[in-house]
Amino acid sequence: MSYRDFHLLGKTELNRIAEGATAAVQRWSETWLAGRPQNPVVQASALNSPAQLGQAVDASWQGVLVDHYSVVEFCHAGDMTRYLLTSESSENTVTSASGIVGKMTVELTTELIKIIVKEFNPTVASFAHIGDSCTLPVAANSPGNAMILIEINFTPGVSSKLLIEHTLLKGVAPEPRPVGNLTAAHSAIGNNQLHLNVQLGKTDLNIETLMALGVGDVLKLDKPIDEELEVMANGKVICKGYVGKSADRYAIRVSTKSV
Amino acid sequence: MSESYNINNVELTELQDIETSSRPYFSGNIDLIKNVKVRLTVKLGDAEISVDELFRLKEGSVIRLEKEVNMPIDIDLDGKIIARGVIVAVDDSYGIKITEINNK
Repeated sequence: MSYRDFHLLGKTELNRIAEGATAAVQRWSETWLAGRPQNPVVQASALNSPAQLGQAVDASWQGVLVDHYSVVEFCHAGDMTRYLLTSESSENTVTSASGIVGKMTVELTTELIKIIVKEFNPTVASFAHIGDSCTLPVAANSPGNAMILIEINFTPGVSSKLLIEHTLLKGVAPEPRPVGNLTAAHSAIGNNQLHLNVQLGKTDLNIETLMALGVGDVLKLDKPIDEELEVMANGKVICKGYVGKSADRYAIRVSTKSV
Repeated sequence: MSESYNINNVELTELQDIETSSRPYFSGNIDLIKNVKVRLTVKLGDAEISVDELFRLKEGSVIRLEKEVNMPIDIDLDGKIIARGVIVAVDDSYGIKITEINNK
C-alpha cells in the first residue's frame, strides 16, 4: 500500500479520519513519550477510523483487507502523508474474498516495528507459520520510512502481496512540556532525613540450636566476606558497598548503584 | 459382586472450651518444636542521611553508620534482639561471635 492509495479517499474523508484521531494522537503520543505505549483508551478510540480505512483499502488491494489496522493519525499536508501506529500488540485480522486469512499483531516500540503472525487459517492461506515475524528498525528521533511486505499464497497457487509503507514520525511527539522551576521545592526536600540500614547477613537455625546458644558461640552468616553489603532505604536496596570504618564507626564505601 | 452402603449425613456438635484443672500438655516443651527453623538476622547498623546527601552519593562515597566499631552488633529474631556479638570471619564468610545473650 502506498500513500497514493490513501489520496483516493478524497480530502473530506481524510479530514474526517484525521479529526477523529486527533484527540487519540495527543493522548497516545504522551504515552509514547512516557515509554508506555500501551493505552487501551487510545486504542479503542483510534479504531474507529482505521476500519473505514481498511474498507477503502480493500478495493485497491484486490481482496486483501487489513481490518482494525491501528492507524491513529492520518492526515495529508501538501505532498506529505503520514500516519502512526498505535501501541504494541494491536491485533490485525487479515481477510480475503475466501475468508479470514489470519491474525497478526503489530508491536511497536521506540526502536522497532514488529509484525508477528498469531493465527492463520490453513484452508485459506499457506503463507505463514505462527510466530513468523518481520522486524523493522525505526530510526530514533527522526522521521523514518519502513516497508513491510507480506506475501500471501492463497490455495491453490494464487498469491497476493501486501505492501505496507510506513512513514513513522517520531517528531509527532508533542513539544517538550516546560518543566517548572523546582529549585525552591528541591532545596526544601533536600533537608529531609532518610533512614538507611545495612544488614550484615543472616542464618537459619533450628530452635534446639537457638535455645542452646551461649556466649562464645559463633554463628556463620550467609554473606561471603568478599561480597558487597546492601544499603537499604525503605526496604529497598539502593546501593552496595564494602564495609570498613570511619571515625570509629562502621561505614560503607559505596561501589555499586542498585536502582 | 455388589456391596450396599448406608450413606448418612454427619451432624457436628458445637464445641466450646471446658475449664478443667488438668495441666497443659505441652507447656514449654521445646522438644516438640526443636526442629522448627528460625531466621536470625544481623544488622550492621543504621544511618540517617539527608536527601541532599542521598543525591550526592556516588561510587566511592562513604556512608558512616551510627554503630561504633567497639560496640556489639545486634542479633535479631523476628524484630527482637536475642543476643549481641562481634563480627568475625568464618572461613570466607562473615560470622558473629556472641558476647552477650539477652535474657530479658
